Amino acid sequence: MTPRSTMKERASAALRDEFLRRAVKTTTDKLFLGRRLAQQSYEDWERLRDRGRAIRAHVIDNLDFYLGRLTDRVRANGGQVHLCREAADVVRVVTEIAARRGARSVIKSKSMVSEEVRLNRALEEIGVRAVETDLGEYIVQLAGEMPSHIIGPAIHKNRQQIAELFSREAGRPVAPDTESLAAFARRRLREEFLRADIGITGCNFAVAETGSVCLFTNEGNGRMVTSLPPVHIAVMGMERIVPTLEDLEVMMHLLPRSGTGQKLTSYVTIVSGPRREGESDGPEEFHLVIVDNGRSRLLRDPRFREALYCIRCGACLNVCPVYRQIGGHAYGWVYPGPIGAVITPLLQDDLDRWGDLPFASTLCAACSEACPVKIPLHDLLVRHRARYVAAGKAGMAERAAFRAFRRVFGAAKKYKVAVGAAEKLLRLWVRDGHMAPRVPGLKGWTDSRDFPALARRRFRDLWPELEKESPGQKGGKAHG
Amino acid sequence: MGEPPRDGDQRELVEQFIANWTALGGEAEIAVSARAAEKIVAFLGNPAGRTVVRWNDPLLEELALDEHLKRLGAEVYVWKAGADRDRIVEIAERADLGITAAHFAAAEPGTVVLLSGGDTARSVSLLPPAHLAVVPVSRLVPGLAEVMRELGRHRLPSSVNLITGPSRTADIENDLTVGVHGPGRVGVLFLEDR
Repeated sequence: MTPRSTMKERASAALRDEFLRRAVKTTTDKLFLGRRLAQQSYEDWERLRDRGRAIRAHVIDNLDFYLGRLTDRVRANGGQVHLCREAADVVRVVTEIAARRGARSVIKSKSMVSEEVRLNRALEEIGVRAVETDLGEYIVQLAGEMPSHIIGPAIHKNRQQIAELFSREAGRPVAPDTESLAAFARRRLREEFLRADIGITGCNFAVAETGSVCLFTNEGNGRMVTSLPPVHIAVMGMERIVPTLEDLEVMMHLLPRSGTGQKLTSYVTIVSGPRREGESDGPEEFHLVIVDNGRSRLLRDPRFREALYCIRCGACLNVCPVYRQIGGHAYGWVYPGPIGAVITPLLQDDLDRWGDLPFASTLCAACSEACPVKIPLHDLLVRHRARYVAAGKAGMAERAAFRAFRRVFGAAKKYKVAVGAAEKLLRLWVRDGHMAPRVPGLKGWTDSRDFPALARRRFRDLWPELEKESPGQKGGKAHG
Repeated sequence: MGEPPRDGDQRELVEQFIANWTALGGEAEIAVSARAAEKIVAFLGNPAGRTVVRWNDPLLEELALDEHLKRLGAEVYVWKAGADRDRIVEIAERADLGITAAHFAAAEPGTVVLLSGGDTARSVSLLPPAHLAVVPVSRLVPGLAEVMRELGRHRLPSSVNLITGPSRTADIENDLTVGVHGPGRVGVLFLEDR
């Protein structure tokens, strides 16, 4: 499912898909506006972001301590904790539980980490059916695809396509209106909830102090998965911790507002271990699977550590001019958009295959502005590019070009001569004050862009006159 | 929970809660305890032949709603601690309405808080297509900060659920639908004398 193609190839394919582009635009516009309105519903949004960032920074700087505390508290609540270094460890832990319980079916509420480790496929290989129950995830699973947005996994599908998928599953036609489609999913998945042997969820936040796993959901599937099956397995990225319930409250304000534009999701479920004395529903076994899978690489590297602050709200996707054109699948793996471009090359630890992701950005910094915990995503993308070049991955021509650029732009005389010559040369392409140069080797850039013609008299030529106009300012400050 | 507050602040909180809750598509009523059963019947619609499942909560006992509902032809099941799992889940699954008594409610953003326990089963607010939470106004606090403070006072139960409106999704072409997996109809009944 992860094609060995380049970012550029995948993006080109996405750009040819008119439906995809319209759908992504509609959804991201809606989520963007929702976020803006929701932020206004909080009195001091900027201060809240600072608090959120401080909490995340504190946890990441003391992650070993909080992992220890969380583990102790979960065990005190009667839960079992499994620390998993690699994807294979997660698969082993979960399939062993499934085998021990003689499980035949597993129901899942949204978990990005389980996508990372391809858990569904691993379960199917041992004969256990894994059913996604978040409506968007269910649609994507029936289509045999990956989610294309952190918040709206199936935004690339229209209702006709969804109706076809559901009709195939139902063995009878399901009408392509939202109500019929949702009603079908409710009935169909209700059967699955009632008979499942194991429920698997993700984890939006784990609260170290209380040993709890917290889920933010809207449909209620998260509640079903944690209430009906006899076993609950929560799979969490190891960085997803907040110290206390008070800190969780900050995230309750930040996450839904940034993600879906709600003040709060319909449900927030805080699970603290298995069911207790006298309870008839709720799981008799609770497992917390804490997953590293490359996260220590980010933790160890001060250049990229901040990426672990991410609370997976998806706000950076909705504002990204690149994501908005190409959607999520073009990023090739589980995490799309600016945050995906930052964490994928590190989690996967493969520059050859994923090193081109950080180049899919205009560096406009809209992502950093949108980020509720103020991760400077555009800076991290630049650091990635530097790392890529330092690793010798940039092409010969590119390296030669930048060497030449440095030589010319680093010396006033060379610069003057070069720009003068360029202006004369580029006149050849000027039409109506604009030029559309066909520069060999820069085709990818120049094909879709026209430039204003270079001015005949440059700023440097005007400088002596400007000096005469405002005497006394020479060498002084322009203002203040 | 002590003497019920009757000051203007609490009134304002109730109004704020109701504004938030109804904006999300929820229904809300205020009543004195003696009239609560009537309000619950009104929320259910014609009770004849309907099934109601409720928490085993002293507050709900006092409202005498079982008698009221049964007299009008509804079946009422009380989910008690130690109930047989399969049987009670099956009943909750076919019930038309689940009734709970919220432990807390927050005016902002319009949230009821339910703590799981043997007599306060999570499925009651989840499996039926409609859920009604009875909330004494004394349990209403301004916001989530107060809720978290209250929760922090004791060891957390196995499951805490903060419920803010009906079950919803926008996963099909961004089109908002309610009642996907959880209840599509949610009501809050404030008891003004509690």
